[in-house]
Amino acid sequence: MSAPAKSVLLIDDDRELVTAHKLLLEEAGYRVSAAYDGQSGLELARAEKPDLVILDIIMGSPEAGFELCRELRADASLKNSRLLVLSAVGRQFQMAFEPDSLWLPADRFLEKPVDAETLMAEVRGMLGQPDPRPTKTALSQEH
Amino acid sequence: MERPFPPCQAACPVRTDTREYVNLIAWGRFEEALQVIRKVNPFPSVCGRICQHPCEAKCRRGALDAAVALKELKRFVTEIETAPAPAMELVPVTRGKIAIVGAGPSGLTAAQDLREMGYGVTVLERLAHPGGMLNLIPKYRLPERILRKDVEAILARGIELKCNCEIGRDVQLSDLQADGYQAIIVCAGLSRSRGLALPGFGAERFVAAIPLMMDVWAGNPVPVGRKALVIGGGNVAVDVARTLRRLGVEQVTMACMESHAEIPASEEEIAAATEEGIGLMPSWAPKRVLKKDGHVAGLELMRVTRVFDDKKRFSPQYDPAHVKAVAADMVVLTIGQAGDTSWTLGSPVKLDRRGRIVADRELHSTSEPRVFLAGEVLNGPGSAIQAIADGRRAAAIVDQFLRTGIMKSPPPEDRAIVGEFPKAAHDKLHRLDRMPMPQVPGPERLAGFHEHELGYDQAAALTEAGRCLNCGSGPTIDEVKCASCLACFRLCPLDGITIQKKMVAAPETCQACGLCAAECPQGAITVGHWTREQFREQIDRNLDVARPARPRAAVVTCAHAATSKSESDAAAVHLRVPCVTHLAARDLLRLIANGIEEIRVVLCSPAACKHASGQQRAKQVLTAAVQRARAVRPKVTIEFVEAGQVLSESPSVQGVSQ
Repeated sequence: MSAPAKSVLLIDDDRELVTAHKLLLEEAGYRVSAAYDGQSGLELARAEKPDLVILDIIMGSPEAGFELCRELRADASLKNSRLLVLSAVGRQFQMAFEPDSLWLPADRFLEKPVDAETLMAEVRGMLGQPDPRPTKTALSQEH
Repeated sequence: MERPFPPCQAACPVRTDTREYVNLIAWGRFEEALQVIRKVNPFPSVCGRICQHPCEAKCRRGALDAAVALKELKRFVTEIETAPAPAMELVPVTRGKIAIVGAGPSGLTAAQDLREMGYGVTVLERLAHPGGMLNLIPKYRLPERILRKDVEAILARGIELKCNCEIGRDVQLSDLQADGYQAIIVCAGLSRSRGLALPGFGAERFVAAIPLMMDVWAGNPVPVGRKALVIGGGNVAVDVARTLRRLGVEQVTMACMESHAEIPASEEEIAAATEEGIGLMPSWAPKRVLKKDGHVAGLELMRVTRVFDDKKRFSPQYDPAHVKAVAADMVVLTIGQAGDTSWTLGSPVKLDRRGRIVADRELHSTSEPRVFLAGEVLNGPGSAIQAIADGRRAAAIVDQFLRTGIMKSPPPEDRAIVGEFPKAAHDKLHRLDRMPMPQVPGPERLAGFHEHELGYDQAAALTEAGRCLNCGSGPTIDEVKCASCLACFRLCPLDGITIQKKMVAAPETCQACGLCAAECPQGAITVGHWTREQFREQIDRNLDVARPARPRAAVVTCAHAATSKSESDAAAVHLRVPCVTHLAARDLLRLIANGIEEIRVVLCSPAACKHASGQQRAKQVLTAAVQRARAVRPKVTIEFVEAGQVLSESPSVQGVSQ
């Protein structure tokens, strides 16, 4: 019997992007749910306890997005959920973000836009699944 | 065997021959000094202003009194007015074309090197003007004209520059590949300030350093308040804080996690900030942005108890009970910078799990053949001179790859480094004060963005250059000629010579005064660029020129003294030596044999002469020679003139063996 499909929760107010990512993830065999604002996202996360949450930051105020990230991480019932922040907040505020334990306690931070290949590689990596792409050998050998 | 590097040169990422340019300045040969710098560094004017001068940190003079002011001397020599440079003959393009992304120090250095090798080079710059992150440096430290001067000299070599052209936005990597560029070197720098997702993020006037400083540089309006907090303790934080003061912010405080002793900014930057009334809050980290009506109203900070762990890894710890609120109407984040990798989107250039470009630091290569990285985008934050060095390195690797198909690091320039001064030599060396850099006083600086360091005048530069100890430029011995006669051993004022099978001068002791070379009876010793043959030619040539006037006097002038004082006698034979220590008794005898009866030696004051002990010995040797010459030429006299005074004709000759 094969293992049940991994679950992914998308939280983003950009509905078109959510639709595109949902298609992509479902095609790869993931169970996908979606929320379009922070509060619904938090409730859905608590209800479904997904293996992975992909979270936007700017849904209204960026402050609320960062706060949601901290709430998700602080929730003991979600301790097994991985957290990927996918946001254009850095581009908008001309800053570069990286996860940190105090203020941005995500497992990974990716800046929008990302291409499908990068996103899927990230999702597979975070869920502990092998990357089907060819492995790079020593860079110097390629030249 | 190669000579050891002086520590200053070894410390410079581009291995500037510091000792050489400083000595050329000391002799008044300014144009040649500038050429020495230019040979390895296309940004001499910029580095004369803002280099972090790792050379000075290693200057051996620092162990005696104070390091030689190498940055200030570099600045001096780049500002000397010279005749306009003749139009440069462009190197013909005989090789393929190369695209360089980013017109900062690493990009433009790589561009210049590759252009000089015969490649056609196009530089793409996302901003409206070249200079990269140098444009972030406030104009009171790096005036725009100084940056432009170096950049224009680089571009004048036939490099095409396309501004307002950002990779990933205006042009894609694939476009460049399709355009036939044989190699693409991305030197895009770290163009983003690091953000902090604090509670209160998004408040008005909670801003990042880079966009703020770019706006200031471009002259765009920058809304500021009356009280500002700058988060960070590096040199960029100091730049931001000092800039805000000049924009009229009345109270500026820098808060940083590091303790006072750990603050990353240089001591001189912190001192300048303090002079301008900027406050410091070490060991505090931001906790929350306080807001009022959507604007910054202050910052809540928490006490930092530790920044680094026992292994010096960044591992901060806080005291959550120790919190304080500071009122401010502006907060600027200057906690570091990161690269913008969005240009890799959809390209074969891979990123790692932390979003960094996968690259080989040694070979500058990425996961995509023929796409290279250089500068901060490859190595992380660094200084301008490190970026320049990295640009040179990348150019060398790319050139080799394009010529041979082989990817290989350039061989390291490893040489021995001159060691510490032996304690015994310390007491024999003169202490000479470092020349202070003239400055506009702190409060007056705040009136605008005018440069506040005013630069050395010629007298100060000559004096300062005269402090260089010539580390490692000691004698070269012709072992065939050396008779191990002990003359050099007895004369050396620093007791730095031993006679093994032949003469050996200890490089860590020798200051290259030249006394041994002057008095070696075999002519077996050469010091620096000065050769006995050249000086003999100078004597013969100048005697020939003066002969119709039947000169009876000769004036021999120390180059250090000559450039600040004049000793002019139209009827005399004029000669010049790097220091009186280079003048040999037999030189005087050559003059005497040609009818010269009055010899005047113009030298620096012993108080200002780095070879003071050697100078004293040289005077004894020369006086003794003249006294002996009087046996056949009774009218012969010698006088030593310093600072316009005539010295005693006959210093003691004790201890001098001829």
